[in-house]
Amino acid sequence: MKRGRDADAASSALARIQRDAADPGVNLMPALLAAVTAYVTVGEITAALETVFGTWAERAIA
Amino acid sequence: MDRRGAWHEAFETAPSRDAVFDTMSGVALDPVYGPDDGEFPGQWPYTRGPHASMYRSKLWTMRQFAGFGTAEDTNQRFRQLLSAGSSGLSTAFDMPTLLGCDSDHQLALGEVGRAGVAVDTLADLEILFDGIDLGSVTTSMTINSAAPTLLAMYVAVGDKTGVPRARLGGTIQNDILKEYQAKKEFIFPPRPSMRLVTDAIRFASAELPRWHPVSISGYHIREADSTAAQELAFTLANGFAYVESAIKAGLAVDDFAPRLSFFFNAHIDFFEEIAKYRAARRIWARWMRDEYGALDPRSMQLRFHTQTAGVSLTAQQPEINIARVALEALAAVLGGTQSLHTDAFDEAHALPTEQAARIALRTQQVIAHETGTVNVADPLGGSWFVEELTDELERRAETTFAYLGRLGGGSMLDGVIDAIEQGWFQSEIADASYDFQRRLDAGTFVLVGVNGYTEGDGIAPSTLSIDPVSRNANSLASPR
Repeated sequence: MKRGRDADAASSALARIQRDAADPGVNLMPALLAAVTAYVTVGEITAALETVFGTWAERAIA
Repeated sequence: MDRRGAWHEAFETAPSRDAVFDTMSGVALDPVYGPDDGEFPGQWPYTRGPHASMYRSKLWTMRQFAGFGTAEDTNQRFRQLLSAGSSGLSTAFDMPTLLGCDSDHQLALGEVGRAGVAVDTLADLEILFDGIDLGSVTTSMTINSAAPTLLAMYVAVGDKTGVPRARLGGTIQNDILKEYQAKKEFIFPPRPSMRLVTDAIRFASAELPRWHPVSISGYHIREADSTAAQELAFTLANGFAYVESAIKAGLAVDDFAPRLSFFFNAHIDFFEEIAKYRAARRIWARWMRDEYGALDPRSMQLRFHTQTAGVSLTAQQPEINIARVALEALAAVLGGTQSLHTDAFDEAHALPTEQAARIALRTQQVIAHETGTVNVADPLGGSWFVEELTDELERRAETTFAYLGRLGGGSMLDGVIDAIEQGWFQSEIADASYDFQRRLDAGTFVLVGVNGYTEGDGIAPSTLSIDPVSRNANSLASPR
């Protein structure tokens, strides 16, 4: 799948997700729509958002 | 006009199902009972139900949740369901998809397609809905952390198959707050996650008028072993947080609130469950009007899906679960649910066999067609006991809202997020779970087949087994 898709479209869609995620005033849905249409994977989208948002680890309950 | 007169007018304009509404002895039944100046269904604050005619117009939707294996497998199941007359699809995703992981990720090993369908790219969703007109079905998608991505995929499938966005109907769970509190399938920290939820609400409100962008879910809070009072209070507090977040993002409350829906548990404490649904409707109506300025009655009318309590099922003597599910489902119907999933009796062991799944659905059909429960709206309204229990659950919920409001300096959004960051919900639920376990251990709560009446334990049912699908079976590995 990754070999068959348009590589430039996929990487620019991922770059747009990172750009839009960094600006809280922008709605991320159009960037996500562009990315899925370019056959970007769920895992690639998660990774791109993680670079901006970070991840969450739960603290232990006392 | 008195309240009965106003109700009667609304009732007369509602459609009636083609059914007989008499008792088995031939007693003709009114659609609802109560004093002329009392509250009626479809009337503020909607304690007795969101609609004047309730099940006389339309039974609840019997929506059973399914999904397994590859997109092809689930597509086959969807087509069978549709050809058998179902109009709603409900999609379960596998754990890697729920956590935003691809099927070839090392953490996905052994989990691909096990508990739901695996989705890596748009190609999987194209296969999942192949041959299905997205303009004529409604689809429920149970996913949270990766919800905006899956919503984007669904819209993309619609775009590619020429279905106007305005015709796409369905629900995406997209309730991230309860993930931190109970279900634990989160990826990002709470605040950026809230931004993603809110972006989906904004998008849906602008582009998808038939879409429910959040299903505010108490179900999983209860499955983590909270009490009914906690389920009620925490779920509604989460609902207020989403409303506040969307208003802060610039949306007008009546532009999105009618599309919010709820998802509650139906547990075994029969009357408390019924009181919980009644209290939920009343609290939501009051807060939406008085705190958030809603003017459209649809913004104030809480509508909900219910699922019977998986956590109440026992592995011991599993056929007893058929009785538990029937009682729980009956409580949901007496509480006025709009949609219901009944668990299968073998689910403490595995995903249901076909026979167990059929019995679960038949249980709903017995309630709908044999018990007469559906003839009269809110049949327990006016019961001194149920009314008092409804009031008490409302008082307890208000105490929680007051605490969260103080924590957030007047903002329920900040209060809920602060409480999550401090682990407050999590420890409240853990305490409740511990208390219940102590009651079981002490024998002050008798759980049939577990700490009492255990003759017959140890006979395991024959169960369904699903092999995880090959990691190469998905779109990632297909040469397009």
